[in-house]
Amino acid sequence: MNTQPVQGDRHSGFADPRGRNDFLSQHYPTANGKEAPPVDAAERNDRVILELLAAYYHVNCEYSRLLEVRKSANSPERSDAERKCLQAIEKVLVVRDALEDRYAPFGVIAEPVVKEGFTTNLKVRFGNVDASGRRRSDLYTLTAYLPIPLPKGTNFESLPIKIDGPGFNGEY
Amino acid sequence: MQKLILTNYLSPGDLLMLTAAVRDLHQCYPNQFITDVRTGSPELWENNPYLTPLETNDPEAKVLVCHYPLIQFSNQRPVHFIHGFIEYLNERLGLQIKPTHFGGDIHLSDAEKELPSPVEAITGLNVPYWIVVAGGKLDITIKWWHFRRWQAVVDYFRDQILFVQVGERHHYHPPLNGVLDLRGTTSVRELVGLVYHAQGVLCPVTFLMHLAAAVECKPGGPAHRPCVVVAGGREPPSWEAYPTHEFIHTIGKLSCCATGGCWRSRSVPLGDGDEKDEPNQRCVDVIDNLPHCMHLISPKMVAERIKLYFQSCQLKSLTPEQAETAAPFLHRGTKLAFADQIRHALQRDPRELQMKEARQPNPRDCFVTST
Repeated sequence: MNTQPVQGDRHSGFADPRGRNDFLSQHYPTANGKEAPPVDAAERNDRVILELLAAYYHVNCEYSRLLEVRKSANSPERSDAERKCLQAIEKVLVVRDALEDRYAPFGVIAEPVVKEGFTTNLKVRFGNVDASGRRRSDLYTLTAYLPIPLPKGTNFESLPIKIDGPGFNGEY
Repeated sequence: MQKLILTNYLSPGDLLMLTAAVRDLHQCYPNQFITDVRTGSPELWENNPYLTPLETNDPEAKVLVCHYPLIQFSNQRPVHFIHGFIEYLNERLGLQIKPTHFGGDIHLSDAEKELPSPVEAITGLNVPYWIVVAGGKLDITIKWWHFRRWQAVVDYFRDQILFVQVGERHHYHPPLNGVLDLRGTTSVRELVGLVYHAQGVLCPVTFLMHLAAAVECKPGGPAHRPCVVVAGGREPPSWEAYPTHEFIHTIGKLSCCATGGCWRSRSVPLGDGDEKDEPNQRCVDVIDNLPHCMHLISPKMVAERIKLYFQSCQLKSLTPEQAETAAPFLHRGTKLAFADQIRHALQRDPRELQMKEARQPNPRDCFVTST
């Protein structure tokens, strides 16, 4: 796996929030239905996932604050607080979009799964690996078993069959 | 008559060029060859009148693995991809085949032509549409334009053009909003049908570009199918472009493609172990991870080319009624829905309107700016 940093990598402003004292685990999405990679993950795709998860975590936290504010009765103070929450969310969305812009040329596609306004899971696809995490240029070994009944009395060696190719040693 | 079995397992775009070579072989040498093929995407050969089933072990059949080495001279000689296989056959068989038509050779049956368009089959709407390809294969990522730019073009024509997004499931095709999303759902033959009924095609240099030129046009419409190609500086237009296409390229505008296409593979390394990640195959002039040549092409430029077709071919935009009826079928991602919810809430606040100009511009407003 490629452990090198992404070319032109710049800090997105989204640090892994899990080490923070005020971390709210309920707002931290899963990645492709699984737990997030460890904080110290070195593999490039894991680092991208961590950045994206942190971005969506911040969106969730800000959205949660907005919902809290909206629970209170209408008042000029509430309007002020609501506006600040909306602005905070918008700001995070702008930075998140910039993050996705930066990784798009690497074939990264991130699609959130949203429930009641909160991102609960992030589906992330990468250009360098397939859905199972295998590098796209890795060779595949495909094995097929094809039973072919021979006519009675036929000698296999006498059949006009030629088999060749990588991995075949010439023995039928 | 000489029996020929032509083989090639390259991409469908390459195979379309082989369909042209087979057609032109028979046009230039009628009744002299019996041809069959062994290729990927066999659907491209359906209804092809120039094919006759031949057995591979037929002792009279000559099996020819087809290449197009002419591509090595694409920056020096005024030749098109369509000459590629033709020249190879000429050399190998001692012939003088000439191109007889500027496009691949796709044959639709009468039954296929009578079918409703795949769009109509899905939505029940018989409306004009354009096909959009907003990505591509993972080997040549240098051809990708940024998805925000494709989105900006789609957004520009909202309620005027119905865009149908297509793309192979395992390639890179980021979802666009406001389009009929058929990514990963169309077989090659369904794609042929989709192109047959399409008003136009918007794409990078890809299979769809070749298909747009290869599939006949529906009667009663323009004589050629509009196609806007976001090409950049990888390939020389003399090799790739079709005369009736709007091929937006940058050859001659940057030092890296000053005299021809760079023919490089990737804008940034994908890290997939492919040799195309090597520095000698990577773009030498990258801006924000996008090749400079693609960066130079703005959504506005693309929109202008589409508008040109509407003027010159007298194409019809969607009527308000058609746009309204199509709207429920258009893709709207959760990201956009959420962002819209937040921004609409902000815009309802009168104080926000006063402060709007003071804030940073929204990067989504990338219609004439960079990504």
